[in-house]
This record gives sequence, C-alpha cells and structure tokens, in this order.
Amino acid sequence: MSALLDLTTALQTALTGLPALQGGRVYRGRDAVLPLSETRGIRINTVRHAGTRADMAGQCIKWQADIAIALLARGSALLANSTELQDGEAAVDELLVPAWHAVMAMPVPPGVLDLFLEPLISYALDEADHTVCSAVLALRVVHITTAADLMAA
Amino acid sequence: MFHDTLQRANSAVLRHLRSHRAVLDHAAELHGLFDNPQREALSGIVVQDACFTLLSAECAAVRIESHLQVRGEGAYRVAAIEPDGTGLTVLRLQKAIA
Repeated sequence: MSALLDLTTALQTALTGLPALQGGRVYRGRDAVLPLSETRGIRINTVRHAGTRADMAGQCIKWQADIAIALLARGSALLANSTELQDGEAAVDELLVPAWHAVMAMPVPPGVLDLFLEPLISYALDEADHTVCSAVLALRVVHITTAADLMAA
Repeated sequence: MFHDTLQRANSAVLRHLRSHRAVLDHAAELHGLFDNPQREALSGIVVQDACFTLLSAECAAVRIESHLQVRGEGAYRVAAIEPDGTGLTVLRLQKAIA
C-alpha cells in the first residue's frame, strides 16, 4: 500500500464509528450514495496529489494532497402532530463538529509533515421528502515519500 | 375554448384515476393521486419526491405547512402548491410525523 492511500485509510479509521453518524457509513474512494435507510454518511475522496522533488538526488518526493471529506445529512421530522422539520444545515451541523474534531485529533500517519483542514466548507441543499444537505471539508496534507516506491519517508 | 376543454378532460381523467385519500389538517378529506418517485440528490443522497395531485377546485383549503395524512402512505407537510393551469394542482410533500 502506498503512503498516498495510507492517508485516507487513517482518515477513514478516524471518522468511522462517530456517534453522530447514527449508524451511517464512511466511504473512501467510492461514489456511493446515502440510501433512504440512512440519515448520515461521510465520503472521503482524494482530489489530487501534487509532488515536487524533496532532495537533490531526487530520492524523495514532497507531496501536497488535497482530500475532500463530504458530510451528508438528511433532515428529519421533529415533533409528533407537527409539520416542523429539521433543516439541512441543522442536520449536517450535528455531524460537522465531531467530524472536524476527529480529523484534527487523528494520529498523524508516518511521513506526514503537515495536516490541516482548510477554513472553507462548501454547502449544498436539496428539497425532497426531507431536506438534505452536504458540507464538504477540504483537508490538505503535506507528506514525504520515497521516489522509488511511494512509501513514507 | 381549448383551455376549457382541457380542464374538463383533466378533471374527468383524474376523477377516474385518483387512487388515494388524504386528510388535510386533521379535518377535510381530499381525493387524488399520490406519487413518490426516488432520485439522487446532491450527487450522493437518495431521496423521494412525494407529491399529491388533485383537482384545483378541491384544494382551496390547502396551505403551505398544512398537515396531510395520506392513507396508507404516512404523514406529510405541504412544502409547495403548484397549480398547472389546466385544473390540476400538485402538492409537493415533505415527511412529517403522524
């Protein structure tokens, strides 16, 4: 396994099992959809790895990885005998804080020099039988691998 | 003239096809067609677009946020009221608790 994949494996481990997921799943490297039976989910997808030579001999590569973490949430009906509904932003917010905290607190994988969440969250909404919302976090990771086999250096 | 004919035709067709009864705001009964197709939203979330189609002449009491209990299908709130101009109105529905 390359150090590139190790990053998202560590991320998936850090996010799996959060109580705020309400039993939902954490997908890595998939274009999977949140089924009707689930109200929360997370998708981790690498956007890109961009590298530069890290030493004169060209034996190490310094990478910058951009990883998208999509938090998916479905609003729900709130009160019996009422039409009050949880809106999409409130629904995804239940997942935002624990997911953000889990990423910030995750153990740093070998070879990683810097790992930080960009202060930018992209929201999208849609109206159907429930209001649904996605909030996409941008994780930037700077790490070093060997040039020969992409293992953590 | 064509508009009137279209309204009469739509009305006659819906009277034959309407298959669901619903209770509006725990009081009035409505008769119409319930549909609940599935689609994908936001490139990642499966949702259903519940709607109830009825004669425009029979939905004067319907309001945004009205409670609609569709028999056999569950409780909804009215999220949007969309008259089509030919005598039919589509109510866009969101899930509520009975």
